[in-house]
Amino acid sequence: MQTDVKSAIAYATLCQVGIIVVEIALGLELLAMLHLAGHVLFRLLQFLSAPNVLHDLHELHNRLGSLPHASADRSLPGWRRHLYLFALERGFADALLERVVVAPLLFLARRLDVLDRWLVGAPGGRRRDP
Amino acid sequence: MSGNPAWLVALFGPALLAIVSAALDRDARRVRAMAVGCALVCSAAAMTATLLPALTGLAEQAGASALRLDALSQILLPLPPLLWLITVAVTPQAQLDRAGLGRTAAAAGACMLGFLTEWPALLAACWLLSSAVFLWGCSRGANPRTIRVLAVYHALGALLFGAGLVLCAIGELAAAGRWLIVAAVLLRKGIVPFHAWIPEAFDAARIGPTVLFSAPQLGTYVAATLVLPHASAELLRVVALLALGTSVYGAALALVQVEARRALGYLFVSQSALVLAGLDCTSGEAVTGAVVLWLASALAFTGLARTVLCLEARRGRLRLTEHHGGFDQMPLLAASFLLFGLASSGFPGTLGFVVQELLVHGAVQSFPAMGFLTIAAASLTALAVLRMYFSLFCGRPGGWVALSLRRRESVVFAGIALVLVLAGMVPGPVVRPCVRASELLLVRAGARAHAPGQPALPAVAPPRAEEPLAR
Repeated sequence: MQTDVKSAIAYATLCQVGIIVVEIALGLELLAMLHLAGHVLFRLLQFLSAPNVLHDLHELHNRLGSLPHASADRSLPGWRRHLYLFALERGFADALLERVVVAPLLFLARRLDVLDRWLVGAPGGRRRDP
Repeated sequence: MSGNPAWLVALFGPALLAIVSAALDRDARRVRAMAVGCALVCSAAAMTATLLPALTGLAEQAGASALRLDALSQILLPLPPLLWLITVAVTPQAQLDRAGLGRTAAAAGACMLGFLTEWPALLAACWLLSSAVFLWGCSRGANPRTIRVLAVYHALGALLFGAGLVLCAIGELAAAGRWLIVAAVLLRKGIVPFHAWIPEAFDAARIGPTVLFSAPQLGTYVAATLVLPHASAELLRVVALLALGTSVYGAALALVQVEARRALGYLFVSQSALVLAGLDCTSGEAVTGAVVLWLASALAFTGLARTVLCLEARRGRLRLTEHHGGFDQMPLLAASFLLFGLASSGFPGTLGFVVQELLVHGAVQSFPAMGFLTIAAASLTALAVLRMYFSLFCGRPGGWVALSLRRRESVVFAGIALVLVLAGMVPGPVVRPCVRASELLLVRAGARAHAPGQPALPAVAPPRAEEPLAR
């Protein structure tokens, strides 16, 4: 379902790591170690060669003059398109994290910074946000 | 005092010689060369105390003598001379001044003397001397408001410390005295809500004296020597909670700073608070982690501050709202900055990773919330360091101006990086003495727990001898 090769590799890595943890839980440490070593080497090769694959694909696009296939999402019915978008954006977890955790934390930290400056009478107690 | 006279001369003589040289010689470069030599001799003498404590003649002195060398002093003693050495070796030529070189030696000497004693009066003298030297050093070039702020905080800290010692001597009021001493330590270390002077000192005063004053953490030593052996469980809990909160607070505020100096100040607030929090734990691993962090944070943070100063000497005041670029012009400085910063946040392969491993593992046993807050502080520290790194070194191709490091700067930064990485790869030689120091602190805590009228502490988990890190 992923649209870029690096995300696909990242999800494949997660899958393999899960299997390795299961192997450790089953007491198969030697198998897990071999699996880990093989996985590291193979995945490293994939990550390093991914830009080449992308480069080849772009070359193909240039020569064809268009994408090899039309994007599928426009042809999907409404609810499936939303579901596809939800999966594509990984459940909007990044945006959710930004709104629920990061933004409030930074807001609080900036207000506390103003308070700290005011405590020592430093100029910039009412400074603009960075 | 019946230590080995030759060793005492080798330890304190160089500091006196550097002070005299700074007062008499008019050539600042020659004074610097003398100071570097003195700091090297002093560091070698201090390392002797760590590796061969019997040679000092102070290893068996306890209580009766003004100077003594216990397991904690053994590992802390090399810190002041090493920081002195780093400071004088890396100070840019344009900022050299003879008085400053003399003050640096005095600050290191006062700190070493403090680490060698547990006599309250002598500790108070070292406390006052180091504060006075710090204020004197900061007074040059700083605006009057900043000096006033620093003077008020330090005068208040000294008053509280003195009053606490007097009350402790009275006997019936000893508990109140210990609270006052703790308040003084919190002021000196910059624990929330007494922290505001540290970012101000980094931002508006001079970084060199501030780092030399703060990084060895004499305040933490005072707490470990005078407070921990007698403190009630409530007092320890209050200190641990304040310190933990400060470690997260400092790292979070470092994330939103627009000035590199101020961000540096908040990073230091976070790191030093974590040391105090770890020492207040009842788990051997957490206390060992705190002691290792004491050493690691002093080295890594001094290196980090020095890299920022080197960059400032080449570019002027550094703001984090823009990308300055320049990695290609000074890769060693950029790599050193990143390594020192990440070592502070527990990056694998550095001494900081060992610290995080010990602190988190040990803290979860005695104070579960501490494990979570330690990880939160480390994560925020790493984010703040990366933000600083991207702003200071990335995002723009380098110009034509040569910004490469001088040889002595390269040697110092490479040396600190080597120590942090080697100690991270082979932590045994660093962790073993720290385990002994933590055992000493836990024995003191155990004595407190069994003292009449004191609430019993949870069972102390001594550091395991078969611990892989300690091997």
